[in-house]
Amino acid sequence: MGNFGSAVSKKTYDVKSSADRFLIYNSSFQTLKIYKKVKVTGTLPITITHNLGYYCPFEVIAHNTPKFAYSDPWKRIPFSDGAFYNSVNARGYTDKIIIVDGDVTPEDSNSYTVIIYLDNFATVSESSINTATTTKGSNDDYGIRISKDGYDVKDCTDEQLVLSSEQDFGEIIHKKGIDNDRTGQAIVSHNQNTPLKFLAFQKNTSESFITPTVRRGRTTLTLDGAYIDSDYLYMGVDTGSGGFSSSYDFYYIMFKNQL
Amino acid sequence: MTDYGYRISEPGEDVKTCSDLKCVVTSKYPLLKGGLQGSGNISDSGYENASGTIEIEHNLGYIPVVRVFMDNGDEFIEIPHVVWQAGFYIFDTSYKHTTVNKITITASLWISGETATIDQDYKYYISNEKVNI
Repeated sequence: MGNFGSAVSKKTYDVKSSADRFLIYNSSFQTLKIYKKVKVTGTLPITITHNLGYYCPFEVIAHNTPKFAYSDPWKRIPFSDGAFYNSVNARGYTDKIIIVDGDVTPEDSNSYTVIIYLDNFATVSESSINTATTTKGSNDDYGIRISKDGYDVKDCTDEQLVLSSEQDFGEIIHKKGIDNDRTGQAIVSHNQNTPLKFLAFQKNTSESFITPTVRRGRTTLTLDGAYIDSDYLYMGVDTGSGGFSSSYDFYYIMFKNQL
Repeated sequence: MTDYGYRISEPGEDVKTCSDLKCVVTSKYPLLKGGLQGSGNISDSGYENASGTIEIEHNLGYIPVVRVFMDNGDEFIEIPHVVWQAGFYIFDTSYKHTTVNKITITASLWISGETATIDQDYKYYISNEKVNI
């Protein structure tokens, strides 16, 4: 099944010989596709239904004041009393995303943009990667553009495209899966000899939702949150002062894009 | 507007009949594609409650999806992140804030008893996908 397919390289890279990381897509590799993007407003909790029937990657971006200023949804609360509190967070179920309040005072009514991806966390093993030519050519008068539904591909803006060979990076999946039932840190190899872009989510095995794995709380510096180096992706939930009191499943996607 | 478009299936899947999930590309669902990327360094004085801030202009005219990773030596961790470690009195927080023309990245790292300036490397990726809808 390997002698056919389709690939689009980045602008100025030769599609026949460039390394995989300079491709916009290659039919040998999966991509991350945006299923739904919605803006929601109100007092938390806020529910966004997707009905995909499986856990899917997602992002939540808070619309803070002043208008048109957007930031990370997890607010930082100084530890004046020696403790740390979570604030706004998001939970992904198999049929919906719920933006939830944190441990402290309820949030004021706010707006959020939620991006839900079509993809699931079914295992994709790392595959051999083409590390051929990595130098740019000079001819930029060629390429491919595919527009979103309802837009004229000849003159629409970049934001209105599904893909374009002029775009400088796509989200091509290198490896994904679920590391189940960890009571300690999950360590997943990627064998790329360089840090990769990634997404990571955690699910307490006693719960029915996933939530982004970010470093945010009372922890040791090395075992909590998700981070990546040249060899491995590390994911952990340190629920106490350096201890792991619960079992977690970790859902991850690593991309071919190098950091 | 549904009887046309572009589909590329994964190996082993019939492009005419496979689900959207089994497509590498379909014009039905856009990819999160990039426009700008770069790297830099934030300097923090190291004192308690101090922080370093840096602004990156993108001038797209809309608020894009942005991802920022902090480079802790050989390790990369995406922001936002917050670390508080009992006993060592380390408080490390980084976050970003995006408008229609720039990204503001803020990083703070305080280690009790130390006041040396701390430099924090970062890398950013700005997608062409709009957040403000």
